[in-house]
Amino acid sequence: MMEYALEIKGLRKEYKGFTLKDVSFALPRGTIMGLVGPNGAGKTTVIKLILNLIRRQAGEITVFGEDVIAREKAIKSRIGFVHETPSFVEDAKLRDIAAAVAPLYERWDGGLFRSLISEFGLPLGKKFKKLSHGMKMKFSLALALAHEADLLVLDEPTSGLDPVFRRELLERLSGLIQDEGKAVLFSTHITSDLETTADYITFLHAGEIVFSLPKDEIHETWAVVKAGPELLNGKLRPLFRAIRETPHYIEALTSDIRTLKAALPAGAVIEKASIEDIMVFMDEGAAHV
Amino acid sequence: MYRLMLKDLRLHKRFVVGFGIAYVIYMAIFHSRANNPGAVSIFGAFLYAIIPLLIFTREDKFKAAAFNLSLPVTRKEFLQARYVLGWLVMLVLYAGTSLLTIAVPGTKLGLSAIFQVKLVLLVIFFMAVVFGLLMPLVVAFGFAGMIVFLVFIQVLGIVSILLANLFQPAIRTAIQGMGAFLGSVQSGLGPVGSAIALLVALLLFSYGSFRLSLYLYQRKDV
Repeated sequence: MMEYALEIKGLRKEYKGFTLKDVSFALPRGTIMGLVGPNGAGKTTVIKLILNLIRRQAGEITVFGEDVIAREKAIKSRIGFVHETPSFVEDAKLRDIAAAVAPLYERWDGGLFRSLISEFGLPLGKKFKKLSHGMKMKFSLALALAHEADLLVLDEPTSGLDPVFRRELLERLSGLIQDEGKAVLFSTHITSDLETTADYITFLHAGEIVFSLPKDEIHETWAVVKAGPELLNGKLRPLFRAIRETPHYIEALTSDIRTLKAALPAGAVIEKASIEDIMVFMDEGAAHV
Repeated sequence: MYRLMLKDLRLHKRFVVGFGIAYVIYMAIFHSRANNPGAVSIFGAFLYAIIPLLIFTREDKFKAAAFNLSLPVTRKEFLQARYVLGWLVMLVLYAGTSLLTIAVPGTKLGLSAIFQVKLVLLVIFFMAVVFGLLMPLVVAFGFAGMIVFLVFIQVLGIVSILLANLFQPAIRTAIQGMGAFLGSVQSGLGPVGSAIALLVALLLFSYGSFRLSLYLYQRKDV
């Protein structure tokens, strides 16, 4: 039986004007999952629910097999969290923030923290408010990594980072899961990060899961088909997830290229769908089927 | 709990030390010139209760609540630490102000005037009431909750003055009735007994405030 670092079943959270509906997915140990979706899809809401920062209306969340509410303290000591806009007491120095946080974690590794600080080029004597967004993100990452978390939950961790550090971070995440017991869940808009790093992709759209699949499976089964208007005949239409019509041809996204392939009209062009293609198709600009 | 209290003190140390010292000096000078130590003590007690709350509202100001609640602590532990820290800050401010008042050159108040049992109990009573009423509001609404309370107190004061003119005999009777009740309790229990009864009542009130804060905090989305 596969062991999951994180398992979510039937999660629901209602806000005025937005509902996260029946979200279910599982993150196996030793893997990295990218949580993607357009703005307002519900990525941050899912992350906040995992950390019990907001209350769920329905559903179950377990981390390493334990309920996140019933065993909140024990679970949070195993989670490293980075918020999309890192916020600490602004007029505190980095040294003081670290000193305030460290005693709360049993597995805090002071040596690792110091080496991360030095590697990231962070000035411990500086006030948090004096840092750029990228530096704040790096500091937040150093705190998340220094207590040897088993599950890293990162909300847009690469936003605001320069390309060099972004790549280093992604390599670090890949290195981290060499330890089979650990796992990473990160939300992002930068789909190229997912292509290089993620093992699983969970795609959220308007509060609902579109899919949660291994990345390889997505590449094998999802495709963009380009052809003339005959593409939309009654038999093929149900096999498309989204359609974009131009004056000259039709582009359609399918999640079942194996079935579709045999029935396609002559001259139809099939292209592998990238994560970005899927995001663009599922979002505005494509008529949902 | 100790680690959480230390966390708050470390993160807000500049504010606590800077604001605390300035406040203690200001209050001590004000206190030392007072002809009526009781009135000044009540005013001081109100401010002693506001200061720890100002520390806690800084979390709201810096939007640091999400980070705090991602730490390996339960909301209950978090709140317990804040109630204990709040009382420690209030008592340190009170003790600091009182001791400095005696040391201010030309002070009108001596040790015995400041540390009368009745006066100390009065200060503790006001600190407990203000802190106990405000904490649930700060937990639920942050800084805005505190401001709403302060505005409410002002409005209540104005309304009381207006009502006092309209219903003077009824209010006088009510106050006299309350005074008579407290007097009979005091004579029945004796000075020590009534002091203990007051402290127990304040303890229960503080516990009620804590339970209400916890109820609100556990339902709060951050």
